[in-house]
Parts: sequence; structure tokens; C-alpha cells
Amino acid sequence: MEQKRGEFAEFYAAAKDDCLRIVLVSVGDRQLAEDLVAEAFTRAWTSWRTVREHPAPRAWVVRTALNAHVSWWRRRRREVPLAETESPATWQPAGVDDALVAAVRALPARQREVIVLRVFFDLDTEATAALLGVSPGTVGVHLHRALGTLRTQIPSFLD
Amino acid sequence: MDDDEMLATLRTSLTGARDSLTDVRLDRSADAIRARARGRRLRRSLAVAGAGGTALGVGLALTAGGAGTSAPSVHVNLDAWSVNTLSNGLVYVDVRELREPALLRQTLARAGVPAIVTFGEFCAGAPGGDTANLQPVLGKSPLGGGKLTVNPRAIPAGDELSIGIVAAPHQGGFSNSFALVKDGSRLTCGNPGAESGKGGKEPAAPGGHAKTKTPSAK
Repeated sequence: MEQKRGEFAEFYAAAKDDCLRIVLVSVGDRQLAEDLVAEAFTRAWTSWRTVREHPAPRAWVVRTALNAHVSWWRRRRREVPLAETESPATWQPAGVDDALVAAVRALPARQREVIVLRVFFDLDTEATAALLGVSPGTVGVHLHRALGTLRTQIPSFLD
Repeated sequence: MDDDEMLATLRTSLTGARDSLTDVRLDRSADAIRARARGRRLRRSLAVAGAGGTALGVGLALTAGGAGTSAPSVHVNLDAWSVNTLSNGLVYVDVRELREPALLRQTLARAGVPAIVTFGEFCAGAPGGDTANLQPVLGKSPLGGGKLTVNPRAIPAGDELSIGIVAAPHQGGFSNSFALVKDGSRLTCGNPGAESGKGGKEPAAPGGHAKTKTPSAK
């Protein structure tokens, strides 16, 4: 048990800030990002035997956090009047293409997951598929659609 | 721009955004994360136990004791407090936050400790009652603050251990008071107020804030 705690503490210390930053870029709300990442690490500890053996444990945490975001958003939509379902105040990184970040955040959840895993963790199609529990072909479809959407919204991608 | 070029551009932009967030840190400890997981497991188990009418022991991670003993094994660790049975039959209690006294009482009961738990006030039975019998229950040198080790076998039949804990910041945490009271007897409870400075292990004497209540009120 002590060894398990030590392993988790080591992983947590090394990965928590990086995971938070990636999730923050993806969702744009600092408090929400912290809650999602804390939730993801809670699940990581609960499933530590699985996560410690995972080929990309940080990607596992980020993917879990983004999934939790989907669940959070669904609950929120059920619980508050439609007029209040606007996204909370969003955070924009300095010196970054605002339109690009906004376009990535606006992608459907699974497409955004594929982009995040490919971009931040440099996972190939097979690894992304394994993490998401879908076929490589499905990953390819999501990626193609995501890039197609971004191409229509970011003029520089049309060059 | 083809897909590979787009991905390369996205990688540059988004990783740049991430790397610019040097001041963004997750200020939660690994202990807090683990405690959160523990609390969640317990709540889920309690919900299952409550909904299904199964033994609460399932939720409290109770297991049958070793062969030849009826002592339960209880290991409940919440953010607020922990109750863990030890291999020698003692029950170790560590109160870190004065929350969920009713659940603590239930948990202690599962661990074989009939108890009355009060946070923010001390309760005792008849003045001068059974405090002399506390030594077999709590040992010669009871732990201070919110920590105590209880020998459930030393609690006389029909008695309950009154555990009162109040915040005592000037003493670095908590002040406590213990007493053995007859099950179902009326209690005298008091906000220790000025007495909290004693930090004693004796039951609070009924004072200006004292009131009486029955254990069933807990």
C-alpha cells in the first residue's frame, strides 16, 4: 500500500500541472479545469493498478478530465434554464490565436479529444484509438471531421 | 494546407498556449486526492447499503475478523476522521475535522465501540460517574486532541463512551473529554467555553452553558 501511495504521489506531482494546463487550454475555465483534473486524478487513484500500467497515463488523466467535462455539461444543461447555459467566462492564453483556441474548444467532444491527444501527447492513430476505446478508423473519421471544421473557421488553414 | 500540416500548426499553437501557463498549478495535495477517493467509496457503499438494506458493514469496509474472534475489522478513512481497528483489538480514532458525528458514532458502533459523539460540546452522565473506569478503555495516557485509542472490550456492558471534542486553536487543534455513561441515561452537555483552556480529559462539569439531553438525540 505504501509503495502504491508513493508511486501515485510521484506521478501526481510530476503530471498534475501539465494536465491542468492542457485541460485549461481545452475548456477555458480555470476553476472548472481544476475540478475536472482533480476528479480525473481521483479516478486515477481509484484505478491506479490500471493507470500505472497504461502506456500514456497523463493522456489517460486528460481524457478522463475531458469526459468528466462532458458529464458536467450535460448535468448543467439539465439543471439550469436554457437561457443560462452560456459558457462561463473563458480564459484566453496570451499570445495565442484566439480564434484557433475558440474553434478547438467548440469542436464536438470526441473530435476535441482526438485533437488534444494527437496534439499534446503526440499519440498516433492506434494509441489514440486504444485510449478512447474505439477503432483506428473511427479516430481517423473524428480527426478528419475536426480538421475540416477548423479549416472552415481558420482562414490560414485554407492556404 | 493538408492534414499533417494542420496538425503541426495546431501542435505549435496549442502547446505554445500550454507552455505559456507557467503560473497555472494545481494546488491540491496527493493526500487530498486520495482522501476524496476514500470519501467517495464510502458514500457509494453507504448508498448501496442503504438502498439495498444490506449490512452497513459492507459500506464501512467491514470484514469478518480472524478465525476465532468476532471482532470486526473496520477501516473507514474520511477527510474529517478515521476509524481503524488494530490487530490487537484496539480501535484507533483520529478526528481531523469536526464533521459527521452521527456517521462517526455509527462507524464506532461497527467497530465494537458503543459511543456518543459530540463535536463542540462535552457530555457526561451523572457527575462523578464512571470516569475512574476510563483508564482500561483509553489507556493510561490517552492521546491528545482528536486522537484516541479505545479498547472496546473494556467498556462495561450497558455503558457508552462519551467522546466530546471541541476546537481549541490555541492548543494547536482540539480539546477532548471522555466519559462512560449508562446507555440511555440523560446526559449533561456543556459548551466548554472557558473550560477549554484546561484541555483536560475529564468530562466537562455542567456550567453556564450546560443542558441535558438524552443519547437518542444524537
